[in-house]
Amino acid sequence: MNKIYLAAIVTTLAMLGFTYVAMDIKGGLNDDIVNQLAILGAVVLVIATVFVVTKYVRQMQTDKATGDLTEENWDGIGEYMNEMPFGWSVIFLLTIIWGLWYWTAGYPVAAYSQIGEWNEEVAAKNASIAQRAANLTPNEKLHLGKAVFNVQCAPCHGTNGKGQENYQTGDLRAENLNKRALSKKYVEKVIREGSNQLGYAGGMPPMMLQDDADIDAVATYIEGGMKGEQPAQYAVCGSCHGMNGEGMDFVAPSLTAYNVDLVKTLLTSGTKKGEIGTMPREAKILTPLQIELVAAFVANGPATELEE
Amino acid sequence: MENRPLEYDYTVAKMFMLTTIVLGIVGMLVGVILAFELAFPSLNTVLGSGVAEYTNFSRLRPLHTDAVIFGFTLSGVFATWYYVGQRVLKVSMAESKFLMAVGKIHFYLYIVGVAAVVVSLLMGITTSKEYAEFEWPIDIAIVIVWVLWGVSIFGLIGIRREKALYISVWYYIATFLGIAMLYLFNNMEVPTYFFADGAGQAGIGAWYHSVSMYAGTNDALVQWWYGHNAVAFGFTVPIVAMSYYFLPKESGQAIYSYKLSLLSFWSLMFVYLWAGGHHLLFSTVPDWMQTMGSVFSIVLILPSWGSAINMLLTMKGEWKQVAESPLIKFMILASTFYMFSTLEGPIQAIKSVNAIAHFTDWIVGHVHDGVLGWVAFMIMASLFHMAPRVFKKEIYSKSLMNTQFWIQTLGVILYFTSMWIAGITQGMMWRAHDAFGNLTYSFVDTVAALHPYFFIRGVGGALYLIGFLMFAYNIYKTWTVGRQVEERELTNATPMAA
Ligand code: HEC
Ligand code: HEC
Ligand code: HEM
Ligand code: HEM
Repeated sequence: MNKIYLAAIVTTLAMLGFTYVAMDIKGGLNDDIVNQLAILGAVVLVIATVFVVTKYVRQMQTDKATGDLTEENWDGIGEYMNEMPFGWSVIFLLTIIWGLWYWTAGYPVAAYSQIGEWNEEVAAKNASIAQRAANLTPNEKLHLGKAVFNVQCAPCHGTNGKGQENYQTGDLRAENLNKRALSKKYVEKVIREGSNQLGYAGGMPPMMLQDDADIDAVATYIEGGMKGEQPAQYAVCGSCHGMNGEGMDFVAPSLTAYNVDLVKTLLTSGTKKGEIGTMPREAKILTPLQIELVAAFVANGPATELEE
Repeated sequence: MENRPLEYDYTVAKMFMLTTIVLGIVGMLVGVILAFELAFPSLNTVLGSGVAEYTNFSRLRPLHTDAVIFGFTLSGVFATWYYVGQRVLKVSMAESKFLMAVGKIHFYLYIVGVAAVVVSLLMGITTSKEYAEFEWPIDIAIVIVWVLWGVSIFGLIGIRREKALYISVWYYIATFLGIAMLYLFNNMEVPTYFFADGAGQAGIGAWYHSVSMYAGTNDALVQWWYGHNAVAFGFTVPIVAMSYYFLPKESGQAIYSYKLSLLSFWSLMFVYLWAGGHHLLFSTVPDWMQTMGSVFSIVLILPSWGSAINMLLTMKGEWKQVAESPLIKFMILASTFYMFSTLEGPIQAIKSVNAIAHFTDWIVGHVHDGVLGWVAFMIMASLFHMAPRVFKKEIYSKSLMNTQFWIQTLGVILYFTSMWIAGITQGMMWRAHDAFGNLTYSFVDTVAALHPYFFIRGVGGALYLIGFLMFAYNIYKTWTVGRQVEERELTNATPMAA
């Protein structure tokens, strides 16, 4: 076979092969019109370029330069008076006509709005998701919660929620979400100064206990995970946090676990400030359903293996 | 035939040939370093954290882009202008002391500008606008350099003997006017030290610091009107000028169609200026402008292909030359890569395709099949053609040139195919989501998936750099030890020793 044709075929097959590989690695077409159009574009690009180049390179082998030369020549370079290639001229004309039509009449200049289209698409998607969400098993919910977590939370909290060590010093981290670990120092600070960052309405007032010894006893007890004998002064706290520290929905967070209420409240209206920065208010990018799902996943313990 | 050729004076051309080669080596070396830094991030700090400031990707990236655009490519444009201009206008620089002086000042001031750019970029001083990173004092120097080049172009045209202007000259003039307009508008900046802000407070920041005169969406629009047309008037128009001169000259063939050159020229000029919006699809730019960018990008295919087809048809019936001369191979392959990238660009400018391509390596692949396959190939071919004429020596080694051609071709192929796969994969991974609209992958998943392709890109780039070093060596040897040649050997095909 002529070498030029061979090269053309090899190039086309190779490029189409590469495109296929790219589609296949991860992600995939996903029934997404944008993906499909992009692949179509890639295929058209390869085939059109190879076809046209082959046609003209082949002419180098078979054709001969002919025509009348212009009168001028520059440094020995002449120019033929040849007509423009027919196919080229026709397609050029067609693109111009198409362009004028598309931009004025075909493309609804006044009616189309990018942001409008976006709003419509999002509304439609949300409706279909809500519909399907109505019949989910608890296990499906956990899997979906994990999907949200991996994208939205894992970059700071780690893929298993165990927090990320600072790569140089090893101590700073966004909270380990598998275990509620309140340090004594932190509890003491909250008792003295109060706290208003998790998103619970009104927050926690300062100076719930006054006496240093009382504060010390309660803080030690909470740091220890609320095991052993309960100091009497804890009763003050129990009225809001529950006598076992399990928290009260909408009133005060659990002191022993990252339960659904705590995570939901934090994500919807909190701005928790830690040592390495502030927990972003995720409600801006998550839908209520996604918050529900991820909260369930966190409450289950992000490092816990899920059933298939 | 006219009588004996004039004694052209290539002093300035030679000086710019030197900077083309030196800055090409610097720019591409930095490119290879960047490629490997992306593949192996620990290389960012390989020389220790003390100098990490200077070795990290973000500090070096603008150095790469500016060294290859304003160093390598622009030097190539100047070098070929100071060569081609004289020949197609049929006047010698030696005939005008004034133009000679302007040419030399042009060169030396350019060197000062380059030095200032390299130092300031390494120090991290930038305006943070891509391809327009230079602070205002350097911008002023660049404007002067540009005006000097303009004086040289129009001065030479003013004393020409050839009545009509050859098509290449049109393209050089367009380069000059296009960049002048774009550069001025995009670099309108306010030095914060000297001008007071709204509250009347002056003296903010260092003396060289400035902020753009435009804000928000307007700034973005001007920036990408500039950015896109930097591609047009830096990577396309002057390179087409080169191909219109060097291909017919080297092959001894007449240009296929005068009409096609004319129509391609005017339509390219007209259409390019409206297409910049395709860099800002799905942004806050008004919808109609985005659509305009996409529509004009599609229309732009034909003016671009027009010049390339004109080149290919010029070689009609000349397969033997293509097969035998590595120099012509460079130019033919350059034309095909030009066609490839000017179809790839418009396809990526379609909104639905851009939704996947934007921010991915597919764009980086598009950039480099254009710049490596088209721009750099054409510049190297031009310099190969010029070297024997300016040094009056034969090319040192044809076989070295052949080897270089194949190594660099392999390099480009590895570069753009790996980025093709990486880009499409990346785009699809970013878009992948489950039935509930949750994203399937986090960013770091895509990074892990792309690692092998980043590595292949690095290898491709390294091959390309090796080829470029062979080119530099070949030219150097031509200059120092090449066989002396007679004027009559220089009419068309470039003399090359085996
Ligand atoms: C009036 C109800 C109320 C009482 C009483 C109360 N708390 Fe709280 N507590 C809250 C609320 C509400 C929050 C959440 C504050 C926020 O949004 O930052 C909270 C938060 C905390 C936190 C911080 C949790 C975290 O993750 O940042 C600790 C620790 C805590 N309380 C300990 C105590 C202790 C110990 C007592 C008893 C001395 C106590 N609380 C009494 C309402 C109460
Ligand atoms: C940009 C980083 C970042 C992201 C993303 C992030 N967080 Fe956080 N998160 C933090 C920081 C910082 C803290 C405060 C931790 C500390 O005290 O060091 C925190 C704290 C928390 C806490 C603990 C609050 C407490 O009182 O102990 C929970 C629960 C939490 N995040 C859940 C999530 C969930 C669920 C997501 C995903 C929807 C998420 N975070 C995404 C940075 C982040
Ligand atoms: C018909 C001609 C062309 C069109 C319509 C076109 C279109 C495009 C598009 C749509 C992008 C991507 C924008 C984005 O999503 O970020 C792009 C990027 C780019 N193209 Fe082209 N392209 C063309 C020709 C070329 C050529 C010939 C070259 C170089 C030789 C080139 C160099 C670049 C560069 C450097 C960028 C990257 C800009 C950046 O983001 O920094 N283009 N082009
Ligand atoms: C030796 C060969 C080269 C290598 C290995 C190389 C490598 C790179 C790398 C790694 C990047 C950064 C991509 C990213 O941010 O993801 C880059 C960007 C870029 N390079 Fe090169 N490069 C080479 C040659 C060239 C040449 C010769 C030119 C121009 C004549 C060029 C023009 C550019 C441009 C314009 C960009 C910015 C693209 C964008 O913003 O999308 N490169 N290059």
